[in-house]
Amino acid sequence: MKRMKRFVSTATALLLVAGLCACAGSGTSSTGSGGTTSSAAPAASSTAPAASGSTPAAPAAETIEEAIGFEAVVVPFPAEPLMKYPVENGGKITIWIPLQATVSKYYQTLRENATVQQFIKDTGIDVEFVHPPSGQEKENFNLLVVSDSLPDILSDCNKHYAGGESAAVGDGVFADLTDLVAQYAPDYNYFLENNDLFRKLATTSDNKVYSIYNYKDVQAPYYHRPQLRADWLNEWGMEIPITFDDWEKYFDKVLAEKPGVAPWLPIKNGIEGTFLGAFEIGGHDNGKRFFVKEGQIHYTFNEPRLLEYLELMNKWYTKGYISKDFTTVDRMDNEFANGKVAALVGNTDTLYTLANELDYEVATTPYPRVKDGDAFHFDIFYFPQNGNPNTIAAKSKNKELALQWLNYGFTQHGSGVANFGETGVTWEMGADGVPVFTDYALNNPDIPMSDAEYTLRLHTCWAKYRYGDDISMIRNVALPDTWDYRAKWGMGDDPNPCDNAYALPTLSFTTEAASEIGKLTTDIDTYAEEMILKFITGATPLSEFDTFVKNCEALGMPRLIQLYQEAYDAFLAK
Amino acid sequence: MTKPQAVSAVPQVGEKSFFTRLKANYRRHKSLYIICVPILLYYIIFKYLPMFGVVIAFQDFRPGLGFTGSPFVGLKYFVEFLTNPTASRTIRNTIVLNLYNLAFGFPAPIILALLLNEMRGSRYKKAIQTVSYLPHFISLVVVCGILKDFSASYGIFNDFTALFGREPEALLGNVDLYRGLYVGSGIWKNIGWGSILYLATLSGTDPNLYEAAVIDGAGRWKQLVHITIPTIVPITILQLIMRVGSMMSEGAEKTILLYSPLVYEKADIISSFVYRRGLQEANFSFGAAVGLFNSIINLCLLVGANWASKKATGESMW
Repeated sequence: MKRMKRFVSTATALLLVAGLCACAGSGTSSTGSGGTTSSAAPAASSTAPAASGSTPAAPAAETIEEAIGFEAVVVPFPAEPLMKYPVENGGKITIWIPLQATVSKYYQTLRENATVQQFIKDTGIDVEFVHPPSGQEKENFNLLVVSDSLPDILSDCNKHYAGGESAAVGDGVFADLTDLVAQYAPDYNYFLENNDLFRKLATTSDNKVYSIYNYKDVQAPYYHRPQLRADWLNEWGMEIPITFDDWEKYFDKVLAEKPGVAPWLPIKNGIEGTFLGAFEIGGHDNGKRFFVKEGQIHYTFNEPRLLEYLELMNKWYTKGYISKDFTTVDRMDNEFANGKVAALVGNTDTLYTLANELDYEVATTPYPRVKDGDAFHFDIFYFPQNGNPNTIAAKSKNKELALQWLNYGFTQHGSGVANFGETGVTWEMGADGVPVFTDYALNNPDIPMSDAEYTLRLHTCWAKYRYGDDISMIRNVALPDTWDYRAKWGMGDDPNPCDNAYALPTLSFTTEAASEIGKLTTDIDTYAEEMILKFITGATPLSEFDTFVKNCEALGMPRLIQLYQEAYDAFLAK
Repeated sequence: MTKPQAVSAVPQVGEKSFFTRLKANYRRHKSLYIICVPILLYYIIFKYLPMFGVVIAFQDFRPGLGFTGSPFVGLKYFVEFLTNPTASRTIRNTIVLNLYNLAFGFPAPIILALLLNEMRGSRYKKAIQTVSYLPHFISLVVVCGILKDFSASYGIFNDFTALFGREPEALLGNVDLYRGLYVGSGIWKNIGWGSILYLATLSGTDPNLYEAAVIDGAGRWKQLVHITIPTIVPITILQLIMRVGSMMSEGAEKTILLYSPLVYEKADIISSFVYRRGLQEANFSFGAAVGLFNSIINLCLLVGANWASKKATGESMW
């Protein structure tokens, strides 16, 4: 009887698996019948850009530097490090830092990383790591706050505390480092003093130092770009598309020649920043819905030209250019790699690597334009305050030691370790004082290149001086193709005018403003994201657009913009 | 169950006070009382003590300041939730989804149990039971992943409807189908597991009853209506009352895995809204306030359902 039962359960499990496989198989094979049917749908209303009468005057500022009244500078290292390592009175500190999922098969704590070992040896400071469970960083951090057991250094935690860093300092969670920085982190302080823009961004509105940020003063082309199938373009003898008309020709060809392939997969909320940028609204990234134009903060959802974007998207959806499943796709890269999708906006490095592995050709395109000659104002600008804030717990007994540890990543040699790995093993100092990877790092047969970025070196760690990705990432040095692929249309190579004048620097908010922004943003996003998808799919007619804007305003949009404007003005006035 | 009250209820010791009786009872059933201690501790530590945490619903809770230091704001977060423009929609969606679950999800395991109970071939019956349990052990994330793939425009559901000439579409993006898919997948996942309780109850039925019914000339249908169903009525009502008592709560996990802004209109429930507003913004007070609000309504529903059932059928939880 028992054996019988076991047999039955095994058999059913097998049947279930077989059933799933069969379903998946039939799913892919039958797509051919579905994909082409909708191409006969009638064209939607015209998307002529003339619909909006607002021909913008030449923007006051050409670049973000002009807009915010700063010149981007490159600060050289001081001749000698300002702090002597190893430190005289060593000790042990603790660091809270999330661990990348990719490295968990090599080690369970960062302390086992050879780069960290060298950090320990060089600084004379021992460390222990606290790694939160992946996906539960916020809960874990707040639990540590409540239980009064915070480690000394808290890496990238500001976003986890309600109200951000100033609230956390006010509540006695993070320490105020203003009086300690000059003495215990002099090399970090050197960049604060020598790069005005960095000082402005990395300190609070009343010039306090709460967080130690990454510092990066070199620019690089952006890695998030529209991409499509180069092999298909060649097959059809087509050029890289620039205007939306060009894109539509490519989409038409895909519908005609590649049954079952969706021509374009937009981001799942339909708010594709790069494409919005063609209408001089939105911004680069999906998350960036605010932008600044001639000193005024704008919010994408109540811009009149959003209607033009929605008209275009609605037309594309009706014509079958847009994947029917776009609202539920989480792994866009996979859809593209599987050949189910012919174009998308994505990470150039990932997509290029995938294309090489799976043997098809891809190409990046310039930022799309409504018509040839249009300017694009949302190109990337890497602010010298390169994110990754590191704070020190207010109750830490090792504040000085913790600052000395963080400071090492801002010395010339320490930044080499933090960016390139173990000295003499993965890198050597080049003649011009810039580190260079060794052959061991570039051609390591034991570790796949995607993992090497996190095991042979530390791509993300606590705060550090950052080099450009072109020289400090193993993949980009070992396979220069990847870098060329990313850089193809970046940094002035766009055939049309392209600048970063509308980019918005990272703003800091007061505790009250942060809490109000949280409430307003949830309310507006809940409503607007729903409506935008409905406009795109046609569930709500575009004639409702005025009502949409009015409703957004009723939900507090003017107040939200005002809060941002106040923070931006405070930033400029600083 | 080894509840102290149940034990003490057995021997009636005249008019003596509760503590005298307890003492006498304790002496007699010492080991039973000791066995109870861990369970009591469990409830005190993990269920009763955390209830004090509910104060954060009335505070502007800041982890750095703790329970004692956070400013008291009264009903601010309750008002904020109820005056939110989408509040009525999320409450309605939560209730409707639960009503769907009640109408379709609740009877499904009972029907399965009744059907299985009527089956003769014991091997075949066991096989069916095992198969129907399996989905219960598949993680919710995986179930939702499968459902997403199946209902994509290239998925098996569309292959099937295409046979009847329907245009393929992303079914999860169709606001009219969302609830059906949500409830349907829930039934698929839970039907087998849920039927265990009823099957266990049915296995305790006295075979003499059926024998007597057969002699009286009752067919299978009559046996079902007059013997089998009455056997499971008490447990069914108990389950129903508990189900009604959780009307306002529906976990956020499945909704977050399945929904998109396109179907907010029918998919956005209280817990998913709280997830976006409370957890993503680290606003614990808001989450606690909504949780408390839900619990109070659930409690009222539970008491009400229990009362109604007592009046109507004589069956109740207490």
